[in-house]
Amino acid sequence: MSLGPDENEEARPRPRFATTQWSLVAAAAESASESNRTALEQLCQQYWQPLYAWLRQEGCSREDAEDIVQSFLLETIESRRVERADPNRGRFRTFLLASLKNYRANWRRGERALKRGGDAQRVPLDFSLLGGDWPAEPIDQESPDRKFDRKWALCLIENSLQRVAQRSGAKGRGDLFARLRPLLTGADDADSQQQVASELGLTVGAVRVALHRWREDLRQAIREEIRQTVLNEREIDEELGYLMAVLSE
Amino acid sequence: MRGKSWPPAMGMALDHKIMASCSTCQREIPSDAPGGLCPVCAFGMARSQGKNPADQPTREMTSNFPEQLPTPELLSRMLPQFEVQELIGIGGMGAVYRARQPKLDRPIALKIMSSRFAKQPAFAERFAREARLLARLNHPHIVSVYDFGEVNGFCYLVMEFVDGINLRQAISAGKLPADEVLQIVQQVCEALQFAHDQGVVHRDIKPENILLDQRGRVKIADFGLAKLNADPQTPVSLTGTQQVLGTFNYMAPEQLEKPGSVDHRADIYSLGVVLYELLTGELPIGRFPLPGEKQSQFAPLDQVVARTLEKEPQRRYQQASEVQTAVEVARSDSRFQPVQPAGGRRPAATPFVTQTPPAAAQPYSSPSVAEAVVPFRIGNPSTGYKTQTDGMLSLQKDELVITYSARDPFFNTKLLGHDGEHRLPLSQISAADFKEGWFAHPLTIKHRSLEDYRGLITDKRGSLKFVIASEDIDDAKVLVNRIRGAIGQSPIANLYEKPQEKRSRAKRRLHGLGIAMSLVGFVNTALFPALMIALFSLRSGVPSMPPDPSVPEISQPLESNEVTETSTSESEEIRSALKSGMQRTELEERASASPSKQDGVSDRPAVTNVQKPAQIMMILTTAIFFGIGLLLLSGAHCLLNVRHWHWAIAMSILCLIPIHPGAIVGGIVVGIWSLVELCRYSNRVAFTIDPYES
Repeated sequence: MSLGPDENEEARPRPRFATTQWSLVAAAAESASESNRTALEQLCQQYWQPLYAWLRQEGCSREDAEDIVQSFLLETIESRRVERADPNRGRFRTFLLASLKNYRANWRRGERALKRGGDAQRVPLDFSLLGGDWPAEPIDQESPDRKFDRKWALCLIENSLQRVAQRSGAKGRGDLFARLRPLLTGADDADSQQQVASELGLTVGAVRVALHRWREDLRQAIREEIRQTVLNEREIDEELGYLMAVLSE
Repeated sequence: MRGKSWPPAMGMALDHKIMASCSTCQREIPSDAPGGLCPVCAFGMARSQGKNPADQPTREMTSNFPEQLPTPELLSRMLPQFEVQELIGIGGMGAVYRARQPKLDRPIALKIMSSRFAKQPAFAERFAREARLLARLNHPHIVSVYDFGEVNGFCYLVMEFVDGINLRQAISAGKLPADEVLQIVQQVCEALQFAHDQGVVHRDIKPENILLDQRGRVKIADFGLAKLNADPQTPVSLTGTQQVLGTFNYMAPEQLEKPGSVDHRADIYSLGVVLYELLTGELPIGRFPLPGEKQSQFAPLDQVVARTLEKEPQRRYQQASEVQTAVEVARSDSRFQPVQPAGGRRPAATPFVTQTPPAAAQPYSSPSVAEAVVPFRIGNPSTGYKTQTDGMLSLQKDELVITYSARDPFFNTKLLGHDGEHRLPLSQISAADFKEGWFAHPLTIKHRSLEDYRGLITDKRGSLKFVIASEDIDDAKVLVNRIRGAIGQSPIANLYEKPQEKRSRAKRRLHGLGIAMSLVGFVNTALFPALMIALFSLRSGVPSMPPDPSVPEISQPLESNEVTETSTSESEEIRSALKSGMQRTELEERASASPSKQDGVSDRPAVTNVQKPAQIMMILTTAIFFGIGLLLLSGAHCLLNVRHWHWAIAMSILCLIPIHPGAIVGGIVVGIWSLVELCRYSNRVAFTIDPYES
């Protein structure tokens, strides 16, 4: 007996978004409203890393990759690109990669120089965390598209984890969360639970309860995160299945 | 790339290339996986709707219901509007779970129909039709249906939760008194008649479907559901589970032969079987003796039994109400002995007490038993009583489970290594007792177990003692009574004391106290002022007499007395004089007059001037005491009427402070006594009960 995800999801109150952010963006592509722009900007900020990884894998130098990502996202956010997306099909992930491929084909050094000279506006990507450095992103044997998908999947988990961490940090248990994080996906291993419990001066029961709650939180967070990038509830599970397949290869 | 971009606060070293493998899916975890999590499992977790990838729903449940029952957790996920707690029973039709509806905060029973039925054509429509019909059956002796629906291929019914046992469990716990048997049968008749009037036939009357709640009231469950079981066109298949086979004993002959032509008289036949079994302890199979042949006191019921068990429907009673009347007639027969236990199969062991369902006799842990959880707190003997032990007492099936953990009372932190669990089988318990003390409420368990109860108080071997908080008294009584019911001890009293009874008990206890406090108030308001007036008039009467010059030697000491009094209270006198607006000139005059007192010559006017402020003082203090007395009287009123606890406490404190004459004559004792009584839990609770509430 398989569980239909939609019935359950729809019965549950949705914590953050009435509709998916991506569907909002795709639907309102024609009108470049302020809220539309903010939603897209937020999405782009979260998922610039796979784009960068793809470009590096394609053989771009670090400087070129940096420039392309910057100008591509700027252009995308300024809604010069979204209108070309087909909102009925495609997810944010596929849209972004297709757009990037397109953009890169048209990208020329001269255009870039003009852009940088004439228009100094930059998308505020969260480079602050990096201290100004872009990640090295070494080139390996993977195909660029696969690398993009893989990075996307990992990026998504990271964003979800950060969501959970923010929530648990807000509840004043960030420290415990950092310790228990590696145990979230593992099978229930009594020894490691016991170890964490004794190091933090808690009972094993308390550790188990915390693990249980955070697993549920993480589950919700991943679904929320994916919900942002797909058009409807039904696609969440499809996307999950796809990303799992990408990672399992 | 993630190595650097991961915020330092998250503190994971991801740069190292150690390939760890996931303990769940055995895949290698990528070196750049965020947080060291296995990403595949993380996605799997999100997809499967599960808490852990280990418990996939496909494994939890197969289509082979009822062999594979959905777990309460899975049901909670499928039906998010309910909190499904535990499985409480499995029948031929499906499984019943205890659940809670958080929105309305009420307990419910959730019946999941076996998926075996769902395979039948158009089952969902038939189910919906029946459920709507059942929802209309609103009767005190019929389990109400609140809602129904279908989720993931499971049809479910949301029903009233009956906290009690079924008649089968009641029978196996020991014989019911004959009169109670007839009362039950009459209630069943009443419910059947109601349902038959609505056009609903039960089709499956049997002891398992007759429930008895905590107050011993009958509730009939599963009305009309049997109709769904059998396709009306074909005879009942014999390939059911054990439970289905069991019900054949209660089925009317026409139900087996021509299931299509079954009417309400089939229920009357089934009721006859139940009645026969309740009276004799046996089933009416083959050539069976009538109840009166087995026990002469049941002779008046022979006719009733014979007529309900007629093979031909038209020769039976035609209405359930006729059975009810016939039973009523038999009950009033002189041969019938109401207190004698019915049935001859088993000696009457323990009288059936509805509040204490015997735990051992139940196939599934009854919800009422599992619910009894009582927290306790005791000093921990293993640390020399320097720490406290918190714990819980609960009954699980036939064991008393004691879970406990020690905590440091000063820092209120848990102590590691001082927690644990003891399981004490009910068969090892020889006695259980609970006493409602003034401040501490001890619950004692005497047992024959040789286990070492480390961490718990064992004042002597074979005895465990727990201290129960005041707010858990009722739970503790329930728990103790359940243990006592299971081990054959008679239940302790005051189990379900009604609020008004509690209040009147407290009222009786506080009555004497109220009178004592009103006496203290009376001393202040009446006795003391009267004394003052008497004293004052006496004192002002003596000096008003003209001095007798012939006896100067007597007047002399009198005068000197006056003088000493004046001089000691001189400063006070001046103060009060200023207050009363006395003229400064008068003061001076008096000051010059005082030395002349030594002469013993006429200075009477000066003396009256001295007495005036004292008089005012006296009036003032009397007034204050009078006020205090009035307040104390109001406190006494509160005590006598068991109202306004806080005011009563305040007045008790006022009563014991020795600033008023009443306190000195006994108010201190009354105040302390009243404080102690008011702090007592049972009295404190009584103050919160509305006297007009029924």
